[in-house]
Amino acid sequence: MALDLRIVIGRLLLAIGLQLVVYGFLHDGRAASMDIAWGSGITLVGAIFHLLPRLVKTA
Amino acid sequence: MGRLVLAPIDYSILLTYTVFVLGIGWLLKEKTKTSEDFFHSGHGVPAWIAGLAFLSANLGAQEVMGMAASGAKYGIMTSHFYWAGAVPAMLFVGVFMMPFYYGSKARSVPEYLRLRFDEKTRGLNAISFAAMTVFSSGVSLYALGLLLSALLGWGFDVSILTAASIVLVYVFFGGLTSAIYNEVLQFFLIVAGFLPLVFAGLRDVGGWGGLVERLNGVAVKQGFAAGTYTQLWQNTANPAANPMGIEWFGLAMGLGFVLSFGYWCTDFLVVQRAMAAESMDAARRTPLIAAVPKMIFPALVIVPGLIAIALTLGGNTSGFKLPAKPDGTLNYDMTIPMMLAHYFPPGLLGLGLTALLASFMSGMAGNVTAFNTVFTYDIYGAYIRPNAPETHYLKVGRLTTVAGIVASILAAYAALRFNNIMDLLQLVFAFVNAPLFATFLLGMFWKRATGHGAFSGLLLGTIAAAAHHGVTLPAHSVAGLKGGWLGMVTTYPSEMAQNFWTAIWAFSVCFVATFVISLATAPHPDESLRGLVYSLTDKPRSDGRGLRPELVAICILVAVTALNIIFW
Repeated sequence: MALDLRIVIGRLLLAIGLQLVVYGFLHDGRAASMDIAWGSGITLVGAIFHLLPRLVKTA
Repeated sequence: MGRLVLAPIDYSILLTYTVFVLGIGWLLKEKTKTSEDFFHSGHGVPAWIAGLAFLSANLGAQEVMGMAASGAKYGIMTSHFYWAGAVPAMLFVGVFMMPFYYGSKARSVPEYLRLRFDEKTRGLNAISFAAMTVFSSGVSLYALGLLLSALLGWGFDVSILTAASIVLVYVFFGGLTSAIYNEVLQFFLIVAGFLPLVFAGLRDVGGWGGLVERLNGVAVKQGFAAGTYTQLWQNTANPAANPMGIEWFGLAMGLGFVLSFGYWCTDFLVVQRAMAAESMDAARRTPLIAAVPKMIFPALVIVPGLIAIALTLGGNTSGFKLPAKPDGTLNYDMTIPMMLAHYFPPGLLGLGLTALLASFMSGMAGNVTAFNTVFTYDIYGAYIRPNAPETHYLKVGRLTTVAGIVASILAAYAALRFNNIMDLLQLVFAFVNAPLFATFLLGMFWKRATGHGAFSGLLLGTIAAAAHHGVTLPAHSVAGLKGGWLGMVTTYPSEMAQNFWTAIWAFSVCFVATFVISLATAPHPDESLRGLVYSLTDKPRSDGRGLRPELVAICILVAVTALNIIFW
């Protein structure tokens, strides 16, 4: 394929997840903790996708 | 309902997605040099990407919002669209039909019809499909414009022109590859955006147990048996005993067999994703890979509907309530937007809206890529300028993309003036897809089927669908677009029951007519049918990588049967 889609998915999820986490930390209350919790999950999945090509190559 | 007010973080997430989408189109521009790249992704798409795109091409926002609305209206019986319809159909197309689509080297579904039958059958299918895709893409755009103006107060013109421009840029430059990439991104956005919604909603109703308890109360209030909203088959002996108003035969035959198989096995919009796969094995695995998330998707798109109706009619302390229409009935279509507004804080709200917008745009892009391929190969290349240089078709494909987008915008404005256009679209699908499945079934598995038989069968099947629609009417409807325009003979308990039986009639008449007329006309020689008909084609051999498609299909079939039994 022309672009490695795993990296594209990873970067998009990282970009969205990190924004949610940072926004959550800058605010208070239950709403902010929801952003932090789900933002962290999305960031983690994004990081895994981003690293996947390297991990698979290493394996 | 009140309008949503977005925070800067919500706009920032929307912008992030837009930058990625446009960036993909721009980066793929350099890699899209031939018509093969533009229309078929160079036949280089790995199975997992093609599989997720196969699933997502059907996951437009109308589907996402429509399934949640149906979940609220009909309960878990809406899962029949997945567990009795889509998943078995996906297994069938992967195991039995993909070898013919991929192995015949046809570039489109209409082209397969030309190879198997004749030019007139291809022409009929190409023209009806091209018109349907533009129409469908326009309705998608119209729905997006309505949603954004109702939810956010954005202007209808600005909304549809912005979305259409974004789709135009990425399809124009990157062709099918760009559309496929964005469909896969949309899949992840839907999961990321809807999973928190399901969790928050379930927590509100006291978990799955609390949801079932509330829905039992709602069912009794509506005059049904207690478990009606959480049982799939138990209340289908009598159409009056379930909110869908359909009995088990109409459900299994109309939805499970004719409509679902008709859509998933013959609609080029989804089949194109599998035909772009890198090998025969990858093409066969594409629908099988798609079937796994499809099996789980009711948890993401139907459960929110169940939660919404349980909270609205079963009482709640959190203040959630579905809005009512001017006639006093509940506005089920607002299930997803209302739940996003109720449960999501700034940030997650932006993510949820981005997922919805991505669905609208990728649904539209899917239609546009299918349209440009069928128009370029099956209409322009067949009837206007055959045998032109390959670069010419690439240019025509790009120009057709622009024309398709412009036609979609015009269709969206036409929809604005015609308030029943959604109903009309569903009707056209039932008229065209249901008989087409009979044509394919006979064409692929009965070598005696002929071109004259297929063409006449398709026409007669469509006429039968129209005639059935003309003499039937759903309960509490007036004669017109909903049916009964030939003089009413039968009344169905619901519109869905009428649609299922329209499809059954269309399929049956096409099947019988194709069969009889084929027997009365000269057969095709066996030599011309090799690779196109089951009995004259060598069985595909697996490449040895991973499990055999047949084995994967059996595992998925066992799992989907188990789901039907668990929620019986």
